[in-house]
Amino acid sequence: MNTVENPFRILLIDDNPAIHDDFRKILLSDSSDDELDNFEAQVFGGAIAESSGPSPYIIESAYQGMEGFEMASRAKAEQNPYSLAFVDIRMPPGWDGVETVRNIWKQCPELQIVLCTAFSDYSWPQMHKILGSSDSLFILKKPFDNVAVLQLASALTRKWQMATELKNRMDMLEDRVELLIKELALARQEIAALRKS
Amino acid sequence: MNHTKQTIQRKLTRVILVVCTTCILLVGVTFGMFHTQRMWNSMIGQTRSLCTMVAENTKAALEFESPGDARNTLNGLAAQDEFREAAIYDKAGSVFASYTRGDVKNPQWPAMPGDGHQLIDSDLVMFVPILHDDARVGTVYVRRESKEIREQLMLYLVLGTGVMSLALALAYFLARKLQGPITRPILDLARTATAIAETNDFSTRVMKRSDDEIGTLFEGFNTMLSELQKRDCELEQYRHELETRVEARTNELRISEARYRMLFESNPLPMWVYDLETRRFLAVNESAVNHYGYSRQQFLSMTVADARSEEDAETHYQCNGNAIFVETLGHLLSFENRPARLVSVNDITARKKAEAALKAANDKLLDASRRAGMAEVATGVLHNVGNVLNSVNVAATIIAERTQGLRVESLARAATLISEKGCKPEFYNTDQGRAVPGFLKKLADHFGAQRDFLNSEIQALTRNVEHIKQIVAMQQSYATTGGILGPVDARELIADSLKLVSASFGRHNIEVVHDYEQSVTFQTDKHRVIQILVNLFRNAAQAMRTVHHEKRITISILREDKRARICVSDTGSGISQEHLTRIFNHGFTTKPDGHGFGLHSGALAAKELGGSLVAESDGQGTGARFILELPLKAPNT
Repeated sequence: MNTVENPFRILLIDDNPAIHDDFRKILLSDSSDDELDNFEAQVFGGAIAESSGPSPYIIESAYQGMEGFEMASRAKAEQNPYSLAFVDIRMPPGWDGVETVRNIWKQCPELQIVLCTAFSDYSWPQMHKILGSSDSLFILKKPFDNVAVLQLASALTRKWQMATELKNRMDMLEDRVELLIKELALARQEIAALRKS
Repeated sequence: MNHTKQTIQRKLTRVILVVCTTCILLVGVTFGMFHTQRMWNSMIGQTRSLCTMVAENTKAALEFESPGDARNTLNGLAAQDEFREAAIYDKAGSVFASYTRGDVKNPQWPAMPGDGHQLIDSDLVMFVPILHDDARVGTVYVRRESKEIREQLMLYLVLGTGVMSLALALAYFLARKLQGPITRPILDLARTATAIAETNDFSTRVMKRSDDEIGTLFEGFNTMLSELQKRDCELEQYRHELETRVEARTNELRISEARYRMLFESNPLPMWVYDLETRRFLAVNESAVNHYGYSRQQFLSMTVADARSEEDAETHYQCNGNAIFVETLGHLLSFENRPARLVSVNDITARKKAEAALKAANDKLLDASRRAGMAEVATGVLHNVGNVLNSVNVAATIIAERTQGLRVESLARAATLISEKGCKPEFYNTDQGRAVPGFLKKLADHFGAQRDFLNSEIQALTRNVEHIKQIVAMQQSYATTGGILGPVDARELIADSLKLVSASFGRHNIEVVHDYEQSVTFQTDKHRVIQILVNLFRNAAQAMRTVHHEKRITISILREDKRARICVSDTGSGISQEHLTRIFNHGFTTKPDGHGFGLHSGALAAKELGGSLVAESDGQGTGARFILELPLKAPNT
């Protein structure tokens, strides 16, 4: 589903606008030039490289923890949820990152979270105590590596997608099973009726 | 006369006399009245029979109308001189004949005769009818004076008075004689009581002479006296005991006083007693004499004020003018009946010096920790640097990627192609040849676009690096020891300080208003002033953290006389009245994560630079103003 029609929505929560720019540069940067590739193929022959297409991400920004929480809640209510959020830990004056995540998970437990930190305000046990153990939380130390961000984005959106699909598949299967059970019950009734007659 | 003051004798005598007088008077008056009545009755009877006789005798005279006979009969009355006047009235009621005593000048016989008798002006007036054959032919009238009765009464009175006087004299004499047995014991008792009252001698007793009520009284009195005597004895004993005890205590006191005197005299601490009113020394001990260097005589001629500093009661001066720091302990007492204070002095000069050294060391340590650490500032710097570093990192990576992605090989291939085949014109008729110019054009576009992109990235990178440099430079200037004085422009100072906090100001939408037109140049230690200002800006920003209305910091520069004034006011939560001065105390903070030496060190620094730092606020919620005042010319330190 990693397509232009249905890109992944990523939420950035950080009080520093420069960091938003950084994320955008990394995740939305597109250095490929399709036209040039075509010309080169014409001149030198050889296969035309497969287009990487436009970015698979839509990135939205929140500058305070509370704002981010509201956006995530709204997106979920509109059935167009975010799959991943990058959250800064230090965001004066409002909620800090950990507090924000705690609140967001109350509403959207399936949202994948990457906590970004310049230095450690919390120790890992402290964070663990507040947020509980989760497989949806990752820590990214600043200054971060572009590739790490790309990899995290890619892997976590896929993880979210698979979890969502799995959930959908399960729901579908459950519906099917229910339907079959109903049909079975009907068939039984019909057989019983036939036997009587 | 006051009856309560009379003696019992006189009272008794008076009673007896009053009783006697009453009895005699009663008897006398009764007899007198009885006798008078009898005399009166006999006088009336006598007169009536006389009148009846006259009536008989004058009946004929009336019958024959011979007034001379009637007058003769009447004149017979002259034998008794009590008859004042007499008359015979005829049937018609007019005077027929009359008689008047020789000495009476104006007879007053009534116009008409009456009946019976009556008393007129103590005279007896009587009318007796003259009857003839039971018919009234006239009336006899007489008027008789009661002289005899009056004389009789007078005699009685004189006699009665004489008898009564005699009786009273006798009664008085007898009373005096007979009342002795009753009054004497009572008087004796009274005398004894008076004597006891005067001499306090309770051993006296009264002699009992009879067994009557007075005897009982005497017995009671004696019992009471014995009781009193016993009590008196006991009291005397108690008094004696008390006196002994008091004496013992006095002795003890004398001993303890001597002991205390020894304690005072030989106390290792200087001690003295001074008069609370005159403040003169009343006593000093040996140690004081030794410690202060004054002789005892000198001390006793001085006042407390001579030995201690005027400003500071804890600084004393020795004889040679040396100042010593002391701790005193005072105790109020009464010395030779004067209100005084006992003072013991503890010389703490050595301790003070040690304390001062400790404080200096502490200050140094604090200063060092402030300069080296500046924990709060450093944390902020780290965060800012971390963020900028992140952008630098991202930009560098992207530049590296883009540089990698430059189509240099394509250009090389095109160049090789053209150098190999480009010299032949038919080449440009082939598909390959026709595509070459477009390709080159596209390649040029690509390189142009990439160059522009890389340029902009590199510019951003340079800006970020510059930013980091600034932060680091500011941090360095913040941490420098300073001490170099130079001319500084206030506007530049403010700009530099704002740079340090600009990141957080921008993030929190804090508006900075520069409310000045002209700057002031003055000589000071730039770094220390920046330290102060940064502290003020950070405090202002923190004070506005929880504020919902507009967040604004107004900075003004003023030149006043020989001083520069920089005023930083905010629209934050303000400072309550009781915190206005305390905020400058070391360690005082209202922030949960504050350490409480920002303003403290700021105020200290301002003072060291010859200026001052004060806070103003109209209370909670009204914002605060911090005013930094510095001299235009730095003081020589």
